[in-house]
Amino acid sequence: MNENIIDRKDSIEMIPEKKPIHLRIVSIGAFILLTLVLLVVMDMLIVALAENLAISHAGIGGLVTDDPVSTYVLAIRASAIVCLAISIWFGLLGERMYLHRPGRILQKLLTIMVCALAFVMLGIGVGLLLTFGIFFWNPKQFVDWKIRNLKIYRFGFVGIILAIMLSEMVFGQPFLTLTLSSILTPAGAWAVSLFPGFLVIPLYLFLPKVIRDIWNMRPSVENFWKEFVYHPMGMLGLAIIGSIVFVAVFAPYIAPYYWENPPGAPINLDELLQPPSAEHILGTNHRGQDIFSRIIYGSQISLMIGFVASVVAVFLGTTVGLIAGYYGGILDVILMRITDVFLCLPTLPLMLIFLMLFGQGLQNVIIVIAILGWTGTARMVRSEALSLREQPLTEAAHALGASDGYILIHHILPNTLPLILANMILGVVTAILSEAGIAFLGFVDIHGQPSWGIVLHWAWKNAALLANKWWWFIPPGVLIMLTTLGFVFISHTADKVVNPRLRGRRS
Amino acid sequence: MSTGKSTSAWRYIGQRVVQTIIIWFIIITLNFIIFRVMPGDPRQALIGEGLSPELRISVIERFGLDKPMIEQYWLYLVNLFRGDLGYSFSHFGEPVIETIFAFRFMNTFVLMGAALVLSIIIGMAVGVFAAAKRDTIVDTGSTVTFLIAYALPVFWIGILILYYMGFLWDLLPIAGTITRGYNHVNIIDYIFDYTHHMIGPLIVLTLSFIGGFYLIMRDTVLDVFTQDYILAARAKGLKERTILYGHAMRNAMLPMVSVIAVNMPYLISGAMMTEYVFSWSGLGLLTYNAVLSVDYPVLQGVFLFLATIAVLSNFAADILYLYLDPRIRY
Repeated sequence: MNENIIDRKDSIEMIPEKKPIHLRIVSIGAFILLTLVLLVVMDMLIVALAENLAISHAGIGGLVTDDPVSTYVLAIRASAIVCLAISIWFGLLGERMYLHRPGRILQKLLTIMVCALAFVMLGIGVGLLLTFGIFFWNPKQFVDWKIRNLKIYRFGFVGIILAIMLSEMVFGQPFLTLTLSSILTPAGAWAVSLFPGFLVIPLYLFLPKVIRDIWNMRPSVENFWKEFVYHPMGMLGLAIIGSIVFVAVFAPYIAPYYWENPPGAPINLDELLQPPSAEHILGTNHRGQDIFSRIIYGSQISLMIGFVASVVAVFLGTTVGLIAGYYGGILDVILMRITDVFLCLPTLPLMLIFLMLFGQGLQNVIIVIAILGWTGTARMVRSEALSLREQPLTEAAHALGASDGYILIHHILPNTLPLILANMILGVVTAILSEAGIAFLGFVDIHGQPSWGIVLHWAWKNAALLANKWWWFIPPGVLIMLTTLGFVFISHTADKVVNPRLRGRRS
Repeated sequence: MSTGKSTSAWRYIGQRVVQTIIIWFIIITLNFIIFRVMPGDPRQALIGEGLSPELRISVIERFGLDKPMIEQYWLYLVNLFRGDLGYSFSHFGEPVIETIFAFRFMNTFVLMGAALVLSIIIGMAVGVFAAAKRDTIVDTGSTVTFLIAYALPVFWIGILILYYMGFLWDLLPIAGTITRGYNHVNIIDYIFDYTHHMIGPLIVLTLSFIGGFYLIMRDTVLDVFTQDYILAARAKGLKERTILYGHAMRNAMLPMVSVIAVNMPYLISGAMMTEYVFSWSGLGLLTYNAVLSVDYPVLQGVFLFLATIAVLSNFAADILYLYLDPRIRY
């Protein structure tokens, strides 16, 4: 009798405190958001890769022209979806496969990818095959090698590449980028050109694993949120970014007009350069387009460039930093010297030159911002990986027989995640500001869908300043500022939350 | 002990020198390659349309554009070390060195130097003060203010300043470095005119630099406050101000040095945007016009010059670090 009562008392105390509902909403919301973003980015990546590969092979004998390109992309997308279905099935049923040997699977996939590079670029491909092929096949082979042999092998590789580059300069023949498909028969070329496209598909095999990891991250998201809620600055930033993302997503329903007048519509002189009125909240521009609608639609472009460029840059930087920091040695030296060179390049002139030369599409804007923005992340991730490599957990994992790839993905990457996320948020700020700058100078596609920078560009070009048209150049700038400010607020607060030393006393 | 340290320090400096030279060489080579690989043929840009074939060939030979790449590269290196960067396409065949250094470099240098000094001084002073008054209204207020400054797009502050101070209130001139068509009586008059034109861009640049400096200063000082030597200084009974400006600030200056060096390219980019908005005749405006008029030699020269500045500032920061922080031993 007595025991029973005591038991019940104990069990009552054992029941965990009920979680506030907002914690659950936030963590599950974050999961859904991240998963959605992941899926969309994967799809974009696969289509972009397939398309670029198809186009780069399209020059061969005029075989892959406009029409086959789209079927090619469709084919790749279809098989990607099949792969996704298979991998989800694997993820649900064949759980063990992912739990135990993802590192091995990744290693094999990388081997296949590197081998297949030979099909895309014969010269570079063969060189990479020689170096990394052996390494990824079985890293243990290096153990048997004497240092002297290893040196001969490495310097031999560098020598071959240098020799090819030199002979390329002297003879003017593109050996390095010579495609295999260019020396095959047209039919063979078409088949070969399909092959690299399929390479991206195995990436889908990792999706269930990644999604499960994100699901498992909920407790840390909740912990983060518990602290984050108490910082009004961070909440304000979140509110700003949330509302701007909302505006961008529902732009067609918010904006009263489209961002351009329908093509071929007659130009009505009364409609041009109008001041604000009930009909046009912020007036019209030199082509009679509604400025308010252009700004609303502009949020789509500005935000997209900001997010995508930052993600690409951080991805590049993380990869370089992890490899350099973890493997060390000559790889580290080479990668870090490359990083140093990139750190010293003058950003703005290079962006302008690049866009002037390679065209001014969205893709190029993203590429140029990402290429010039990955160095900071690479350095930070490298130093973090260096210190993590020396910690006992790495040694223990090695002792348990984990491969390098497994340790990198399961131990080192999760530990650098806060750093990577912080870099990503600040990267969005840099990317949005850079885009606005080059758009203002007029080096992007200024006739397409506008970004805020493009609206400012036209205002500047039409001397809105001297005509006292404040409604043309003040609102887009305010929006740029609000967006970057929101991200800066979030990053500042997140820094406080993650780094307790900066947190201070909360009364 | 001390000799051992100094030799290893010298070895470190030697290593850094070698690395810097290698990086600089790679950048020189990149500079050569970028302007050769580009789809736009420099020959086309140089000659333009409507020249007779003979003249075209003679011009191409005159500029050595028919030689093999490797020979062109060699010539480029030799000319570079002789200080010859070629001739501008669009500035009436002026030597590039002159285009860059005659007055444009000075204009950019004065503007950027003044903005850097101002923003570093203000940012550091306020940063230390805010860190000392941590979590008070002063701290929060200044942090929010400087975060806003950090988030502002440079060119848009420029537009605002032009609109309000230049156009509406008529305090500042709209464009240029000096008043056009105005004969200056003496040097003081000239300097006054120049400074008057510089106020606008200077405010803009200072605002755009200051946010980052303030934030770094504040965070580092907060970090320094947790160190033992601050505790020791407090235990000695030193005045709070001495601790703040003598101990905390001096030690917090270390990260500032490397941040300024590493961010040099971004600072220069900011200066270029400002120059464009205010038509300040410096390197930024030059680059903008050179890109528009496809003036390869000038672009190459500016590119090389800016990259060299970045390389040198990185090197200087490393050496300065060694000197400033006695704890570092290599």
